[in-house]
Amino acid sequence: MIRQHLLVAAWVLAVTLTTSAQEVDLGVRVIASKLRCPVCQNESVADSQSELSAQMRTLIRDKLAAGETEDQIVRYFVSRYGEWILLTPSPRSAVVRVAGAGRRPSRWCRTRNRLPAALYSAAPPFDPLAGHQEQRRVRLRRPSSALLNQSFDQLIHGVWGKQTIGVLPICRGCCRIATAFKLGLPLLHIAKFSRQGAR
Amino acid sequence: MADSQTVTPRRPMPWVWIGMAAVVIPLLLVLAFGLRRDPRALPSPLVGRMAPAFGLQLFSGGRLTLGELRGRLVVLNFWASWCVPACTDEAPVLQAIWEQYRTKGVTVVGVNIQDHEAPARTFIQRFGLTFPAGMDPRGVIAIDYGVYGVPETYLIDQSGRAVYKYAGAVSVDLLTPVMAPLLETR
Repeated sequence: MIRQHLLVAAWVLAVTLTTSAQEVDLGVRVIASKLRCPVCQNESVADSQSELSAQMRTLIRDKLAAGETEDQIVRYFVSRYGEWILLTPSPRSAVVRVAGAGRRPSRWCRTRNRLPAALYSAAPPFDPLAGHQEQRRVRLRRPSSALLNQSFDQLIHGVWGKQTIGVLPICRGCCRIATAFKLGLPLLHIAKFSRQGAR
Repeated sequence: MADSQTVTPRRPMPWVWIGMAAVVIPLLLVLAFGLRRDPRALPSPLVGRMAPAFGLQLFSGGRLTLGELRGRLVVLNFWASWCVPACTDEAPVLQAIWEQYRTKGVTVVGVNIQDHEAPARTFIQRFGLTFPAGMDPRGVIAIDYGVYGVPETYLIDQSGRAVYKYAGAVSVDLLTPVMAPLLETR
C-alpha cells in the first residue's frame, strides 16, 4: 500500500517537473525567437547554432527559472546590445518614430498641394497656335510639367497604393521636396518673366 | 508654321540645379561623416553607464571582482585562444600596456570566452601574459557586456563607468590617447 502511494507521488512529481520544463522550454523559445543572433546573419537566437546563441538561451532559461518575466528578459538584452538585438523593433525605437514622423509631412504635403491647384485653376486652356510670348504668359499660370501638375502625393498613391505610403517616409520626403519645387516654380517663372520684360 | 512657333529653346531650369544640390549635398555630407568614423568603435548602450559588476575566476587561482578595481582604470579585454590573428596580435599589446601602466593606475583584465581551459592556458604561456585573466565558461560576463565576438575591449574608468568600447585588435596607438585623459583626471 505504501509502495503504491510512493509510486503515485513519484509519477505526479515527474509529470509536474516535465510540464514545468516544457513551459520553460517554450518560454525560452518564445524569447529567443525575438532576439537577433549577434554573430549570425539574419538568424534568431532560437534558430542559431552558434555558441553565443546557445549561451544566450541558457541565460534566458536561468532568468525564467529565477522568476523574471519575458518583458524583463527582453529589456535586459536591449540594455546590453541596444534595439539592434530585437528582430522586430519596439514601438519606442528610433526607426519606428522616424517612420511615424513621416505622417506629418505627408499630411502637410497633401494640404499644401491643393494651394497651387487653386492658383492654376483660373488659367486659360493651353493654345498651341498662340504666339511665343503668349505661351510664356500661359506657362506662367500653368505648371510646366505634367508630373508637378499632378499632386505628387496622389501620384505615389496611384503607383504604390495607399497602404504602401504609410511605410515609405522617403516617398513623403520626395513629396515634400516636390511640393517645395511646385510652390517655388511660379515665383521662379515670375522672376524670369519680369527679367525678360525689363529687357 | 504653327509647329515652328511652339518649339521653345529649353535651358536647364534653376530648380533642377537646386534639386540636384538638395540631393547631392546631403549625400556628400553623410559620406564625409561616415568615412571619418571608425567602424570598429562600436556604439554600445553600456558606454557612459556604470559597467556591469562581474566576478571572474582567474587562471592563476582566486577570484577577481570589478568592485575590487574601483579607483583604477580597467582595460577589460574579451579574447579566445582560437581567435587568430586578432587576439594573437593584441596579446603583446595588452601585456605592454599592463607593464607600462600598472603603476599608473591601470589594470588589464582578460576574459576568456567561448573557449576551453587547456588552449587558453597555452595561449597565456605562449605570450607570457601576467595580467589577471580568467574564464567565462557560460558567457555570462560577455553577454552582460553586450559582446558580439572576440576580441572586444572596454575601458572602465576609476568610478566604474564604461567609457569606451572597441571591436577588434587594439594597439598602443589606439588605446593611449583614450587612456591619457582618463589618467589625468585621477
